[in-house]
Formats: sequence, structure tokens, C-alpha cells
Amino acid sequence: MSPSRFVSVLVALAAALLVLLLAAGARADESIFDPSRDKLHLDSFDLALTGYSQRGNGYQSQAGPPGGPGSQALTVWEPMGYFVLKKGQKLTIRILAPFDMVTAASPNAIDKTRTDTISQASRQNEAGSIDTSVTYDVSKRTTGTFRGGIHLEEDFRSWNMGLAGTRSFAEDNTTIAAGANQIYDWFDRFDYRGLRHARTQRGTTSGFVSLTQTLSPTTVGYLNYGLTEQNGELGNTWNAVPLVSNNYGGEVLPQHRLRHAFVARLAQWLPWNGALKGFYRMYADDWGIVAHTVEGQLYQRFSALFYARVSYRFHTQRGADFFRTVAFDDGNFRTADSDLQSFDAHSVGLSGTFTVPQRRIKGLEMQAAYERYFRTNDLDVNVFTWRTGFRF
Amino acid sequence: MSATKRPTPSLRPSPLLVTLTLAVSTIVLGGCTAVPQNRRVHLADPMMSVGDDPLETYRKQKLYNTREGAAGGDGAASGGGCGCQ
Repeated sequence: MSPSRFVSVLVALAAALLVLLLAAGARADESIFDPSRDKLHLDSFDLALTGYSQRGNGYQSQAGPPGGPGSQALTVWEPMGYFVLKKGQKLTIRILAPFDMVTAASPNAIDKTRTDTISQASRQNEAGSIDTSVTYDVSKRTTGTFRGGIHLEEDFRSWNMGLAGTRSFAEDNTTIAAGANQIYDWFDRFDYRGLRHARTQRGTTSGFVSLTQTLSPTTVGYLNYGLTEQNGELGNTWNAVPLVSNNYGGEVLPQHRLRHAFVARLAQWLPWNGALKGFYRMYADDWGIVAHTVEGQLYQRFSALFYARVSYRFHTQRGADFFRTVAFDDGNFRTADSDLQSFDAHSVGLSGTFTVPQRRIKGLEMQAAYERYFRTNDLDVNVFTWRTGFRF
Repeated sequence: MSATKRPTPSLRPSPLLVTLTLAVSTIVLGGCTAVPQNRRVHLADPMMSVGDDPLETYRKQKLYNTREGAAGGDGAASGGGCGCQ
């Protein structure tokens, strides 16, 4: 079976499972359906500001010595809003709206008199997204979710939509979920010299199945398998590749990519008002990338109003088969993108969450978080986040 | 552009992965004893959520998806972007 057909079959199976789940739920709970029980109201909203400060070098960037790795330094400020609206007991609408303000989105040493990759992108870039999801509780045990979103970024346009469903069993001790998503990206094709070559596109189809299981009064487990197929232009189009001729060339990437990811999570309550969470993820695709990721998170509640978290994440990946720091100009697949290289990455994080007592609203929550990400091929990122949440 | 060579698929699962998958599956499926709702008080604490909150999830996607070639593929939808970050 070809990869495309395999993905199509998986997506069809996920859709069929979703329909069956929704149908089963509808039959089981028709009697309590009452859409006029309550009016649409704001249930909660969160506002967050995240800052990313990145330093490092990669061979895909021309902002360095000829043939050597160039700068990947950038700063991103990202304000976000997340709103939850509810209508009665059954309808929940979630809206996520992040906006990016990026400096030095594509640092490079291209002739400054010529058009840069995406106008002014090497200096500044703004982007915004709106993702919405509507979840309907078909019954006490069954939910269905429709989602849709759009992403705007300079010349870049992206649309996505998806369906998902969940079904609980055994007094909600077991929950299975399945879903499918489709993303379509449409953008200008700028080459590594900053020259525009009309528009191009890519499509992404994905599906997942997951299982959440209560293992004991203090333990929850979770498994997820996801499959993603991508077709079209799969690069950002302007990454450079150093050539043996001491010149630069563009990336040459396959027009197809099939990606598998398996995730396992475990959350364990600790007797001293704490929690320990474990995460493992295995990834493989047909570009030759294989990766393993593990993460541990330790939570400690110090009072009813405050808890803190420390976390450590380790990621190791084998690079794409066609990664090169210097390549022949022979038309074979090639990339010098450091993200597609073999490397190990470490991430340590710390956060604190405060609940501020309020009389007028149900809750006011504030969170501060810091994460430091660093990896073995010359890249490190500091991430700061402040979030304020209002519950009604 | 001249003809290009497709990479060789390398999706054969390692023995370690198979063993780990079986171990995790056994642990999870072995726990299929129903826990009554009145004994799940600890599971209701926000610290015990098996996933991150939506903003945290988005922040992590932003951090990892644009820096690791092995990110994504989880079947979850994510907004597009130039990938320049």
C-alpha cells in the first residue's frame, strides 16, 4: 500500500470512528438535549505574553563567513489571547489568537540593495493566527469537535480545519479519541538570493487516535499515535546550502513526507501535594529522521493558591538522509538546515502559578514561566512567559 | 531541475521501541479497573492534567516545531508559518 493510500485509509477510519462515536452518543442521550438551557457566555479568558530570545548558527543561513554557518539570532514577542465561551452544558467554543512580532526572521548576508526574502523579513516580520474549535457534548460520554483556523504572515496564508471526537467508557475511566486535520499553505516562493518565483503551496493531512486511562486514584496514563502526510513545497524556499564550488545553492527537498509520531504520558499524584509527569515521544519519517524525546515534570503545591513546576526535556534526533554542510550541485536532494541535522537538545523549565482570591469572579490566575532550550549544534533559546487568566 | 533521488525510507521500529511500546501498553491496559468518581479527587487537580493547557501547548509547539525537524506529526492541527523561527 502506498503511503498516500495508507494515510487516506487512516483518515477515513478516523472519520468513520468519529461518526460512530457521535451516533452512539446521540442515541444514548437524546432525552437530555436542551439547547436553550443557557445563553452563550464567556467562561474564561487568558492573556499571555511570551518572549523568545535565540542565538546560534546554522549552515542554511548566509549571515556568516562564506561556506560557514551563519547567524540564526532573533527575538520574538508573542502576545496571545485564549477565550472559552459556553452555551448551556453542551456547547463550548474555544478561540486561540496568537500574534508574532519577529526581529531578524531570516538573518542573511544578501546584497542589501536587492529584495530580501519576504519583504523586510530579515529585519522584522509580523504574523497572526486565529484558531477556533467548537465542541459539542453529544452525551455525558461523547463529544464532537470541529475546528478551523487561519494564519496570516506577510506573503504567507494558511488555512486549517479538522474534526475530532471522544468517547468515555467505564465510568469515565477510559477515554478514546480520534480526529483528522487538513492544512493548506499558500505562499510566495523566494529563493536563497531573495528572488521571487511566483506562488507555491503545500498540503498537510493528519490523523490521530488516543487513549486516556485512569490507572488508579492517583495515576493517569495516555497514549497517542499520529500520522501526517505532507505534499508540495516542504521548505521555506529561501534556505541556502553551501556548495563545493564555494557558492550557495538552494535547498532541494522531496515533495512528499510521511511522518509517524507515538506519544506516551503518565501523571502520578504524590502524597505531599505534588505531581510527577512523564512524557515519551518517538518519531520517524521517510526523510530518514528518527527521534526520541523524554520529559519529566515535577509539580509541588505549596498552598491552595500557589504551585510550582520544574521540568527537564531531552530530545535526540537522527538527521535527514540528505543533510549536508556542503553539497554538490548535482540536483540530488540536499539541505543544510540545522533543524534537519542530527543533534541532541536539552530544555529546562521553571514556572509558578498563583491563584488570586477574588470576590467578583470565580478565579484570577497568574503564571510566570521560564524555559532554556539548548542543543548540540549551536543553538540556544531563552523563553519567558507571563500569563493572566480570568475564570467566570 | 534535474531528476532527484528519493531518500530511502527508514521506518523499521527498533527493538527498544517495540519493547517500550509493549511495556507502556501493558501498564495502561492492565489498569482498566474502574476507579469510582469519589476517589478521583487528586485527579481533578490542575497539576494532574495529562496534557498542558492550550497556551502552554501552543508555546511548546512554537518552540519545538520551528526548531526540530522531528517535531510535529502528532496528528494535531497547527497553524502554518514560514518556519523561519
